[in-house]
Amino acid sequence: MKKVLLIKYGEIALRKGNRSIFEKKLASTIQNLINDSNIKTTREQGRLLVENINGDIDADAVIEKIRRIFGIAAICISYKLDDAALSNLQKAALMTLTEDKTTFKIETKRSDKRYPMQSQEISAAIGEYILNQRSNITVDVHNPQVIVWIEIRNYAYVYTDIIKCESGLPYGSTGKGLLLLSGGIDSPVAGYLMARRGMEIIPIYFHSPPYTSERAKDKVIDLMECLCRFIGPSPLYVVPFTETQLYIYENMQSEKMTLFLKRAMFHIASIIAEKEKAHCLITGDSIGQVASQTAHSIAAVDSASNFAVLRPLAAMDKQQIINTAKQIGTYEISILPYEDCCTIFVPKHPEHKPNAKAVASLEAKNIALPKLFSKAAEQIEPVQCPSTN
Amino acid sequence: MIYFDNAATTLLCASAKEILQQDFGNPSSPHAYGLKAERAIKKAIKEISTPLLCDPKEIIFTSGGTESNNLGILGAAFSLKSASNKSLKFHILATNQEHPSVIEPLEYLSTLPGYSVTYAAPSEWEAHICEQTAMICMTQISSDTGDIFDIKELAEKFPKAIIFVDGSQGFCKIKPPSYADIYTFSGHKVHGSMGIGGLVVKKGLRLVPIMHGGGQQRQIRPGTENVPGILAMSAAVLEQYDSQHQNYELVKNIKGILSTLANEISDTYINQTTEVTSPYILNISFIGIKGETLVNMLSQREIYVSMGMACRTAKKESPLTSMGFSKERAESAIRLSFSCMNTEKEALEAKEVIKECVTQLRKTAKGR
Repeated sequence: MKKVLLIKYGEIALRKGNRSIFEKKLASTIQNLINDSNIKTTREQGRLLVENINGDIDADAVIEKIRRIFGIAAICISYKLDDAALSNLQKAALMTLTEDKTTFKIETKRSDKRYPMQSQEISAAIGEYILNQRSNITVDVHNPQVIVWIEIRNYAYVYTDIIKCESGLPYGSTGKGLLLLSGGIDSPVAGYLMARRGMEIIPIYFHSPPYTSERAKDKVIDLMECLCRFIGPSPLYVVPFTETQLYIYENMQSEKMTLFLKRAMFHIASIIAEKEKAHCLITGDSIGQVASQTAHSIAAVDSASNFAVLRPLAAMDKQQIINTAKQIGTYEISILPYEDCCTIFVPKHPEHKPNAKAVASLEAKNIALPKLFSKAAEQIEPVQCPSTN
Repeated sequence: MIYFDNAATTLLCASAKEILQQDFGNPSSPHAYGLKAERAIKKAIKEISTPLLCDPKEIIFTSGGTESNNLGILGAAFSLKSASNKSLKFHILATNQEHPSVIEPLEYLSTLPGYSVTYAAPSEWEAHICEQTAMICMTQISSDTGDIFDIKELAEKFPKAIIFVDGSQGFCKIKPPSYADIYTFSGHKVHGSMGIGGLVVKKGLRLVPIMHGGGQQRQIRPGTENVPGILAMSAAVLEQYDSQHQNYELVKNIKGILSTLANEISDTYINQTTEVTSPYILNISFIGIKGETLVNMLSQREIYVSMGMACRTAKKESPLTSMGFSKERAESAIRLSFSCMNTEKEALEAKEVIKECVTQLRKTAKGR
C-alpha cells in the first residue's frame, strides 16, 4: 500500500472517439510540469495515476505543481492497494478515518466488474468493519463528516481527501488563439477562460510609446506571468503601434477613432495569426461595457479580420469578470494606473451604433494603412514570459 | 542623460559612494572595531548638526523621510496624550500640500479618540487655529510645486503648539526654520543613500517611540544604526553645506532658463501657490497634452522628469487639483527638479527638447 495521486478529469471522460488523445495530452502535461523521473503518470481506467516509483508520493509538493493544469477536475490523495482483497480495503479505509470524526459513509466505485462483490456489498462490509473497530463513530448516509471513497480499477484505491481543480480541457488540445492583451482587467480573464477550454494562447500587446509608458508594458508582462502559472512559459509579442495609431489619429474621422484603432489591431493580429498558424483571435470584449463593445461596434470591427473572433466575456457582468480576475491573480496588477493604448486616443463622443459597412469603406480609403499594418506585424518583439530578470 | 528628477531622489555624490563600499562594525559591540563605528557616528552627528542648526543630542536617525515623519508626528501626538489629562482634545493643523508620509499618520491619528486634523493652506490658518491646536504640520518646501512655506508669525502667536516641519525637500537647500520643534530630513534627497534619514527633536520635547527593541538612540528609535548610511549622508551634507549659496545660484539659473518656456510656448503655465518658491523644483503645465506622455517622450530622449511626487504615482487624484488648479492644468503638468550636479548646458538642451516634444505632441493633440 502506498500514497499516490488519483486524477479525475471530468469533461474528457465524456469524449468517446478521441478520449485517449485528450488523456495522453493531459498525462504528458502533468509529467512535464512535475519534471521528476521518479514520478510516473499513467492511465488507469478513466483516471490518471501519479505515483512515485520508489514509494509514497510527496502529495503537497506535487499538487502545488499540477493543480492549475486545465483538464484536471480533482486530485484525490489516495492509497493504492496492489491486492484488492476485502480485508486490505477494510484496513486502508480505517486508516484514512482520523480519530476526530464521528460520522462517516463509504462510497464504492467498481470499474473492474470481475471483482467478486458488488459496490453496495463492498461498502457495507467495510462500514461494518469500521463500526466494529471504532466505538465512537456512526454511519450517516445523508450528511457524513467524511466520505471514504473506494475505487476498484486495475488496482484498488482508498481516499477521503479530494482537491477540486480547474476542470476544463488540456491546454493546447482544442486549437490555437491569438489573445489581444491590453493590460486591463478583461483581456487576461478572456485568455484564461479560453486556455481553460483547451486553447493554446499566443498573447500580443500593442505598445505605443510615448503614449503608453514602459511601465504599462511591464504591467502586461506581469499579467502574463500570472497566466503562465496556468499555461506554462510562453512568449508575449509586443507590437509597435505608435506609427499606425498616429496615422489614424491624424487622418481619420475622430468619433470613429476607437473603431479604426480596433480594426487596425485586428488587421495586425490577423497577419500574426496567419504566421503563427493560429485558428482565431481572442478579445476581452464584454457586450455593452463601453461604446466600442456594443453589438453594432463589434460588427463594425469584425470584418477587419479573416479569423473567427472569440469573446468569452461577451455575456459576463463586470463583477463576474472582476471576481475571476481576482481568483487568477491578475486583478491587482490590472488596476495599476498606467495608461494602456485604449485610454489615450479616446474620442470625446464615440459612436455607439456605427454602420459596419460605412466604417469599413472609410478605412479602405486610406491606402497607406495596409503597409503600416504589415510593418507593425513584422516588427513584433517577443518577450519570454515569465521573464528571467 | 539629463537627470531632472532630484526631488524624487538624487544621484550619490562621490564621497558618499566611497563610504558605502566600506565595512563597519556594530556601534554597540564591545570591541575596538565596534567602538570605531560608534566614534564615526558621533563625529557624523556633530558634523550634520551644523547645517541642521541644532544640538547633536537632538538628532535621531531613521530609515528615511517616511519613518521620520511617522515617528515625529505619532511620537509627539502620543506623548501629548500621555503627559496630560487623557480626556483632553488635541487639534492638529496641517497644510494642504503635505506628503503622504505626513497625511497618512495624521489620518491614522484622526481615527483615534481625542485627535482631530484640519488641512488648509497656511493663508487660511487664522480661521482654523484654536485653543486646542496642539500641533502644526508644515512641509518646508512642497515636493509638487516647490512652494516655500514659512509660518514664523503664526508660530510666535501660538508658542504652545508643537511645530512639525517636513524638511525632506528643504534640508541643505534652505535653512531649517528656527521655530521648528521637530524637523525631518532624508539622506537620498541630498546625494546620500536611500534608506537613511532622521529628525531633530528640540530639547524638552518627548517622543513616544513607535518601534521597540534594543536601547539604541535613547530608546526612541531602537535598531542597529545604519553606519554607512549615516556617514555617507553626513559626507554628502557637508559637501553641499560648504557650497550651499553657490548651489542655490546655479540651480536658480537652471530653473530660470526652463521657466522661460512659459513665455516662449503658448498656453504654458508655471504652477505655484506661494510667491516665493524653491529654485530646486519647477512645476509646469503645457495645456492640451498629457503630462505622462511628455514624461515618456522625454524619457526616450534620456531626459528624466516626472509628473509629480513619486510616492503618489500609484494614487489617482492629482495634488494640483486639490490646490485649486484646473483639471486641464493638472493633467498637463510635469515636474522638473534640480540639483547641484546639473549644469546650465543641460538646462539649455532640455529646454529645446521640451519645446520640440511639446510642439510635436500638441500637433497630435489638436482639437482634443
